[in-house]
Amino acid sequence: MISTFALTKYYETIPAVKNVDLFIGKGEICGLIGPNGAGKTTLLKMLAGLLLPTSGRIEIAGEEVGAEPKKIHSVVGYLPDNFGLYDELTVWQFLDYFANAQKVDKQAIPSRIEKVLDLTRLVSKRNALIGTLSRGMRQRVLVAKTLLAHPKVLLFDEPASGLDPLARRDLCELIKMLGSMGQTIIVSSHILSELADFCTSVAIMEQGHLVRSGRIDEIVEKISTGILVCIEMIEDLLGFDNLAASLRQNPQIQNISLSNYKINFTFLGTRAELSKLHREIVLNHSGIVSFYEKQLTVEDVFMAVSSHRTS
Amino acid sequence: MFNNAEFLRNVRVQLTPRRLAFTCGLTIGLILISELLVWSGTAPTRYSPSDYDRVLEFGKVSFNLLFFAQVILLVAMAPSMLGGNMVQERLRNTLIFQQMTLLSPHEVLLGKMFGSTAVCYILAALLMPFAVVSGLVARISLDSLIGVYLVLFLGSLSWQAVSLFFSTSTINANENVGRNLAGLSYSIGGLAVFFMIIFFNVFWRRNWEFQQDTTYFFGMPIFTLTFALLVMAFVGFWAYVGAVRAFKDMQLVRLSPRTIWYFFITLEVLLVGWFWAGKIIWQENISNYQAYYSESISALILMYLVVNWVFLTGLAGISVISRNQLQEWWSGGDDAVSVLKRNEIKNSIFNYPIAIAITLAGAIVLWLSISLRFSSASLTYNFSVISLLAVIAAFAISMVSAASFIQFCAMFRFKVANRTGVVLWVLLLVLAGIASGIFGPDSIAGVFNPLVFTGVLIDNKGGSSTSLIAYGLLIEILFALISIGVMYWKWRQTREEMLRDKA
Repeated sequence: MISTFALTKYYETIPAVKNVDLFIGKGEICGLIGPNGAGKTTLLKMLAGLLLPTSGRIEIAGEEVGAEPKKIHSVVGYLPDNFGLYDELTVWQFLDYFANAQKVDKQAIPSRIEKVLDLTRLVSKRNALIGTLSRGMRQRVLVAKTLLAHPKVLLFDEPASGLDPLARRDLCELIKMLGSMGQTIIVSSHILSELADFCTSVAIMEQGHLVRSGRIDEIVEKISTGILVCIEMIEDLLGFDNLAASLRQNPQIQNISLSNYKINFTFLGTRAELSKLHREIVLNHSGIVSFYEKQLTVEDVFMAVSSHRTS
Repeated sequence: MFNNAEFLRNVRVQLTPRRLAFTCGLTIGLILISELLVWSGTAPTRYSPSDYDRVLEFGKVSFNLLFFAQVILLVAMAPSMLGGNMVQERLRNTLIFQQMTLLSPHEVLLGKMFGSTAVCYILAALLMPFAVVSGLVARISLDSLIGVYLVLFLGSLSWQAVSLFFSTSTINANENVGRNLAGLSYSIGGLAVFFMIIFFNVFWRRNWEFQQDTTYFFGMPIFTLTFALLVMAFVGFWAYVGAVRAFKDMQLVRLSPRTIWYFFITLEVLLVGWFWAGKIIWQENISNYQAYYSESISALILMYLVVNWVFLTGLAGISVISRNQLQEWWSGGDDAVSVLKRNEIKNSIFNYPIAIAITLAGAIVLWLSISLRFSSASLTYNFSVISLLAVIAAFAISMVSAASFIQFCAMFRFKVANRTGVVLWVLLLVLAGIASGIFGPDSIAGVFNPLVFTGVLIDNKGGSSTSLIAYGLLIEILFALISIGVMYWKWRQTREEMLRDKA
């Protein structure tokens, strides 16, 4: 659905995006991850046809954007990080304006507006002035506006910034729902936990370069060298130190990290050997609260492939 | 227009039914009160006792008042509100909607033009019947009333287009600049009223009839008012076209280079027609037309070059190749974007000499108007072909120097480098002009300024010595070489910097 080939953008001599080859399939929800200044917004703006690349190619829904970015404005919906709305209009008037501006069939406009209001759970706010809405509601109005023209691709730039936890959860639910409807979505964020819930693939950017991209399970498989294990203990410093010392002597254990009476490590053996280790630890050490296998999160993937310069 | 989404949005924002009813009610109330006050103010006195005089006076004062209110609404408020509307898009972060809209630039700009000023037009329409009736009571002819409203509406549209052009051209400015631009929009409104007052003072007589003065266009007599309307339409049309181009540029839509050519062609037609040397004048005593020639031809050709110099310097300023474009030029591959970039740069480079060529063609036509004889009338001096060629060469070389100097400045790292280049160049020529006043027009400073040099050649009344022409051209060429030299040096330095940074 989205492909870029050697996409590059310079701001004078500073490369904001450099030689990015990105491929995102139809219906995927891709998390665009990277620290501030990694080039995420520049990449999204180029995909949205708001910025001309210095060089390289972009293809969206089979259409080459090339030198005429205007022609993809009908297939791409872009939700910027820092946005404003026409506060003097009601939600319905705002959506009516955009339906007309996006050349939606005139007769279909009322039903289309009702549908997006329903999708974004804004039915009760249809006659409210936009200026009176909370930030979370305004974000939803923007999503509703974007959905009016049936875009094939949705680009969210730092959608959760400035939202309270409740509004953030609502937004995640909305993105998940759009994903389940087969929409191709790119969500950029530097807060990794935000994306963990709903991303099917990730693209990791650092200093303008695309460090790694692909489906999360495939990346996990590539970067996994063993089984991630976590042991939690009661607050017994002596027992904690003893356990850590005995684990360090085990040649099948690597990357041990200790924090807050938790020991994280990578086990290089088989699952049967891990079961044996579990039995030994429980028999020989007191104060064990839990022993479990950890799943790799988006955060772990980012930490594994980047040079760990999150902001 | 009522199908235009942008128009409807602007109207909805400004004119809720309640607000519209209140504003209209208030306006009608104010009209009636002011009419009452005017009527009581024109009560019969010992000196003008008749009812006829009183009614006539009432009509005049009332028309004056209502018409001035319409001027304020359409010529001051409308351009200010329109300019402010565009700047507001930037200030409240809604500009992105304008960039991504599927409406055409014309739909957006016309929607803004009439939507954001709808309240002004509605109020002016409310005032109009009262003003027209007052005018008829004051015995102003219907023709005159139609004429005055034509001027008012055309003036309003032209100033709105100017305001739209300024606000659209600078829409990507940062927030602080944006706020200043909002102020500029209001200044344009104020300036517009000032010009309209002058306009009416020039063209209206005390008896409320338009002056029937004539002016000459390509030597043919036309009403001065018609010519003024032509100039107004020219300014309004090109300001609107400029706004559309700025809007397309913001949307990353490809721009046609030909628009610049058409602008210069129409500008030259207007200027050459205006400054045309011969005049065909009706002679009552012999009942025939006679051709006459102006004695101030040198001033005409100089004015023609001054106006063009201003526009060409402006074009040099907007055609410079920024560091960003240079980066794209040097690092681009053979993909569609890189090819487009290179085409844009080529267009910028080629537009400038084409505009100079159009200007010089106009100068030659103007010179022909001096040289062609429609009658036996003889001129007191002869502007020779050699002098014409010297003027043309000096002007062209000086414009090449300007472009090189401005390009040199644009390659420095600060953001407004190209604008700084234009300002410095203008300053340099102004200083040269002042210096020529001190050291004489044929000094180095004098001949460096192509306009002073032209003045020197024309003042010599065809007797320009070959040595003066050679000396002047040599100075111009020398400065051109210096400008091209420093530009080339900075060009190479910039390239090395960029390649080093890239590495």
